[in-house]
Amino acid sequence: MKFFCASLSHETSKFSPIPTSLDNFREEGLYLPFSGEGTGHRQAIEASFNLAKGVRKRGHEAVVGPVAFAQPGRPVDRATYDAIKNDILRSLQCAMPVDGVLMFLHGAQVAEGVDDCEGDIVAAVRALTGPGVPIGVASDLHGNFTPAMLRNADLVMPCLEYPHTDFDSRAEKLIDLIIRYARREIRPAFAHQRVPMLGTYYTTASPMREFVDWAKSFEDQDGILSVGVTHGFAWSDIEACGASVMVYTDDDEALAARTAAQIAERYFHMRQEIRGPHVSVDEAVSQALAHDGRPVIIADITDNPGGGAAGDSTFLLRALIEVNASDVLVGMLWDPAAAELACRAGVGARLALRLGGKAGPASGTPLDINVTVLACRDDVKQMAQGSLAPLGRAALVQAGGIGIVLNSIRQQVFDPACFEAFGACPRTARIVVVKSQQHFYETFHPFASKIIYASPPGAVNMDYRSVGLRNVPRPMFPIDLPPFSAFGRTWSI
Amino acid sequence: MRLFSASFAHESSSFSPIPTNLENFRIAMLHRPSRGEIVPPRFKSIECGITAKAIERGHDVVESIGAVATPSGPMVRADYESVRDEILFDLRNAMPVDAVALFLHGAQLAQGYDDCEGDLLAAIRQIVGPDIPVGVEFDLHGNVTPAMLQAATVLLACKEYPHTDFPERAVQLLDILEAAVAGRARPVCASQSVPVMGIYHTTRQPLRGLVDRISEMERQPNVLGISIAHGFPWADTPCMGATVIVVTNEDEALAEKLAAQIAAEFYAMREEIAVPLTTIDAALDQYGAGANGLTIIADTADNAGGGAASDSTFFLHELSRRKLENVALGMLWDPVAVSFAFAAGVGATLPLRIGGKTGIQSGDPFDTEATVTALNPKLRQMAFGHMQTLGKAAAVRTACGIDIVLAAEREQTHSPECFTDMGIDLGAKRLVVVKSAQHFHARFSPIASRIIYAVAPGATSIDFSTFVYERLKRPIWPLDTLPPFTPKPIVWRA
Repeated sequence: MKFFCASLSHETSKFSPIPTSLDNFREEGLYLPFSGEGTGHRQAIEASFNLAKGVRKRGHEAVVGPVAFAQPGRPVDRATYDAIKNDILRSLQCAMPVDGVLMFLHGAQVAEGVDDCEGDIVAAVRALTGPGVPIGVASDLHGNFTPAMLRNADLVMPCLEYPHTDFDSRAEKLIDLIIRYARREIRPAFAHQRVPMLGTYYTTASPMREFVDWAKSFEDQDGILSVGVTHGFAWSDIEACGASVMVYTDDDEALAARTAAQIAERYFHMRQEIRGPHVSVDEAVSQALAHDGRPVIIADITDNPGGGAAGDSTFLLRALIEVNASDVLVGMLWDPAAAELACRAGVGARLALRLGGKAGPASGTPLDINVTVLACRDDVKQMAQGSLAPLGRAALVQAGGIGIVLNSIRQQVFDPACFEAFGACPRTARIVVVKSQQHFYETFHPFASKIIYASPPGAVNMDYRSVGLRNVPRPMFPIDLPPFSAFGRTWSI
Repeated sequence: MRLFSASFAHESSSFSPIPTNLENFRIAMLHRPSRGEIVPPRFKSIECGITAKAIERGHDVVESIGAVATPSGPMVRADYESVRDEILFDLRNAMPVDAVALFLHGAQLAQGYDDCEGDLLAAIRQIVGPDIPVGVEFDLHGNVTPAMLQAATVLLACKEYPHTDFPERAVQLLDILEAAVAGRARPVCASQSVPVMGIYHTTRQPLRGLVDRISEMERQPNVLGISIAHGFPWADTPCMGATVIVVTNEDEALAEKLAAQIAAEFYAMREEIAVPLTTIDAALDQYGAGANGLTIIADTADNAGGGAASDSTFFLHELSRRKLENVALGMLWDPVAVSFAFAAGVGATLPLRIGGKTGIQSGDPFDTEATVTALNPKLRQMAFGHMQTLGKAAAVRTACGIDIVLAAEREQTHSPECFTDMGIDLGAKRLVVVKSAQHFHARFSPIASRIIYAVAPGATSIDFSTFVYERLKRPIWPLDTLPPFTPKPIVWRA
């Protein structure tokens, strides 16, 4: 059988200071086969694309359409969105007839004038394929899922873990189900239950951990094909924002609806407990200093580039300097200008640098500080969700007892290599501040003595009341105190 | 004749926040013919004068490195030494030569080197021996040292600030070298240092008159070249200061006499020719009280052409506070804001943090809701008589209506194209603030009804009391009270 595979991923925050255009996609290795962009890297792109790999592993043909990812940021420039969408449709047209379509779509993408990019794309793909051709969509659990997307796709499979460690296993499951549907061995029926809450729920901590395991166990029941538990993404600020549960069954809508409601009710019931132990800057610093054991990891969650923040805020860094903390590492501060100046000055140089605070008010005030340049590299990459991501020109500079990694290609910290490649030792440091909300967890928690989630002011503002949200539906927990059924009962096609 | 030519020019500021290594040259100009390495020659015009002229006249020219960078801090030692040694290597390979012609700045510093030009010239003299003429064209902002005077046969600075006369000086230097090689002239130099630090415009009297007079004197028999080097006041070195150099044909007495006379005149007019310390407030008050037409305010303290970052916001904050209308400001160096503007596209309105990115001298960043009015992937401007290609630039309009040109490459504002090629109609503006100390004058003065030189805080502030000098030779005007100045020129004979 022949499957068309494509991927478009952008988590959009209307409150990010970072505009998003084609160059932001290019920076991450854009592949648009119809228009010929990036075709020099075709083999590498196809080899690392899990949906295509999985199809081929099963002995089927995969035609790879666009693969496009950009770091989270502001709504995608309309021309850019149209170009990528057009390339998906044209590539698909060239590949037709196909036995199925498999796509990764983030779920929280907004473009100028298009609030629901995923729904828009799936509807256009459906219009091309017509009914009966299976369409499967893998997605991020930080998506906001709309009727346009759910009605036009046969199966939507968000990851279940945060950190998203299960993208590959969910992709495998999606491929299996779409192949079975293409053979007409199953007929997916589904139910979707919106849950009137928003948050960033760490599946690494109790009781979320137990809840996800429990929800996933429904997939072992007869007739249930898959379960999705989504968290929503508040900063997209669209009408569909919010958490949800989606259940797919083999031709049994009633079972789907029952199961979705059951899972959703327990999810809603936990809403207060799973909100996350987010503490203020001062609290984070004093907890870290008081802790006996090393390293303490402080996640700077509101300045997470993975949520659309610049990654250059100075709140935690300033607080650590003010208490004269030592044996501290901070990374990665996105500051191409300072990284460049440090590299020009060279290893061993001492110079006055203005660090951070460069993208906008959410970045705080820049920090003027004398530093020593300890390392400069252009070639460092970190392992980010299965692929190697270059950091750009980067430097490790030291100010007193604090080592700071400056980099040029904006991204969150996934991997201790962000420090170790420069000769810094995050495993033995006293405190390590990472610009990441949760994806650092997978690689840092094995050696962390304690993890603190700090919530300074920032672009990924966790205080939903002060974000300036305009379109998020109400009532919504934790802004309001909604009843479970605020957005109605489950629905299906 | 067989002429060896090279250019290695960097104005180095001890107070610049911008470090300097080979990368700074690569961006601006790093021409290494022997390695086949040719990089965008943004400054080709000023360095290639002698080489091009010599080729045109049919000389056998051996061209070595051409390396020029925008002013910034002292160069990383290893990188300075590598460029220097490459020039020396090329020279050894080119020997025997009849003459050497160099374009150097005169105020270049490297880590561990107070006097790069003196260091390079001494090494060149050692290779060519005592009899080969070595001529140097340099910037009048050079700090002339005994090592330079001892090693070079002829030192010739440009006379004008703005430096509009590099091409004439190149021809003049080539003429002197030709005469020396042919045995028609035996150059002898007299130098007189003048204990002053400052920035002096040759566009205004009485310095205009003195420059015209020295050009007249050059027409006297046996006078080959006269230079007034103003010095570069942000180089914290013992030889910082002004120097008068007179080159004659074997007439020591004449050289000494003229050097003494010109130095005394220059010293006597120091108060008059210094740029007054006009604050931001005073400059804007003057503008507000002023006439019709276009006023240009030079933000002299944030001049990339003197080693400043060119991203300070002191003016911007004050313009916004005063709610002034029909105002443009540029070019402000801000690669981050430029990249945001490019991503947002023309017509987009976005929250933008502008400037204040490099250091304390950059001031506080300016936050606004900006509208992108124009984008240019390759902005160009006229500089030193030639088109200079810059990088990406964006024009944005702030919420308070100020048009700002943001540039991804750090370069001072030389010409109105920086605005007009970004869709900003200067005919409709009443006030333009330019990040430049004086080079803007050559191209903006024809369209300006008034020019005000302002002194904000910054790396190129002419309020020298704001810097901590450690190595400067004291006493020096205007920081100290001086005993009466009595010129006693020194004669140098190669």
